[in-house]
Amino acid sequence: MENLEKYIQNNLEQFNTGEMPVGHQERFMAKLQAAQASDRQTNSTEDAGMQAGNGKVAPTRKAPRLFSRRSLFAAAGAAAAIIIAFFLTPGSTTSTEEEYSIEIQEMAHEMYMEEADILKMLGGKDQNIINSIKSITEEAIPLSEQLPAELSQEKRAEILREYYKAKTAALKNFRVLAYTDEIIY
Amino acid sequence: MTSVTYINKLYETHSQTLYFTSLRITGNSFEAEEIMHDTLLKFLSQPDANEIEKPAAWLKSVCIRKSLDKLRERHRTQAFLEEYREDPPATPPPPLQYTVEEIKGALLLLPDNYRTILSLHLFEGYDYQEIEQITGTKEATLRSLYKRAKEKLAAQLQQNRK
Repeated sequence: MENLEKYIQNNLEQFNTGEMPVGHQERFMAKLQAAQASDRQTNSTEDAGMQAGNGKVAPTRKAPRLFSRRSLFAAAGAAAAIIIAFFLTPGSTTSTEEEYSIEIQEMAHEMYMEEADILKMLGGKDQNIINSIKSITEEAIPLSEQLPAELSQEKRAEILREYYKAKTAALKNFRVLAYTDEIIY
Repeated sequence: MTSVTYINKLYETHSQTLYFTSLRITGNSFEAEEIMHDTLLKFLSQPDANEIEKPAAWLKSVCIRKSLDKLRERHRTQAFLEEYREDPPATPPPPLQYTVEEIKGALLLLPDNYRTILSLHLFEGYDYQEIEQITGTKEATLRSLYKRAKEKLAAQLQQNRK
């Protein structure tokens, strides 16, 4: 027993490393943006109430801004860069390829935003739906890495585009289901 | 200081530790990721985040509290004491060699109460008084619980080997 305890104490670092769920950083970036957007909305609502001078909005102190607008754009840019690096192999950058990569990056981002929204809506309530959603967005090996190298960039983009389109459509169906469940609860 | 470089560095430095700390307590990957994210977002939203002297300690403390709150949300704290009242089966000492992965797997299969006390005392290094403050469970109970948790972990490791 003491040996087991000592073994754990001597290897503590290793217990804090390992595989993390696929897409965890992208989901964080999406939440970061959502938090910032929500904060901006709150501030603008407060401003509107104050300006209207209707007397109904108490002159509360403004909540401190989470992040500057510039850092939000920078964070969004970083998220985009991560997603591009994740899904597309480096190569020549013709304008067409750039267009494809931007489009795919936007689709992947939309998928993760959709996922973050639904999970927030569920609030950890329905584990079956959560598991199903995770099974849609998580990949043991990203599709981009499974595609044969001989495929043209255009073909790769086309496959990935259809891939994210289908996943996002499936997530939208889950949103309806989650929303319906919310009403039932 | 919330530049993208700062945010990325903060995430890269702390995300893994926070995730696995929470996973050891909650036993649920989805919840662990949520808590890790929420902890980092909370840190970033602090007006005086730059002035926090030991961000790692701050983050770990928030992460642990959020993880325990999650357990409470799941109404498992009742089971915490009920499970404790049950006498665990007597187990022979485990074989000397286990891998980190085997122990991680066995931990996730333990009841919440045992996983929690092992996480806080053995992995995070909190003393019993600190754990008493966090969980509200008395020190004497925690000491007994810790002993039983170690026995249970050893038994679980042996069971997984079979």
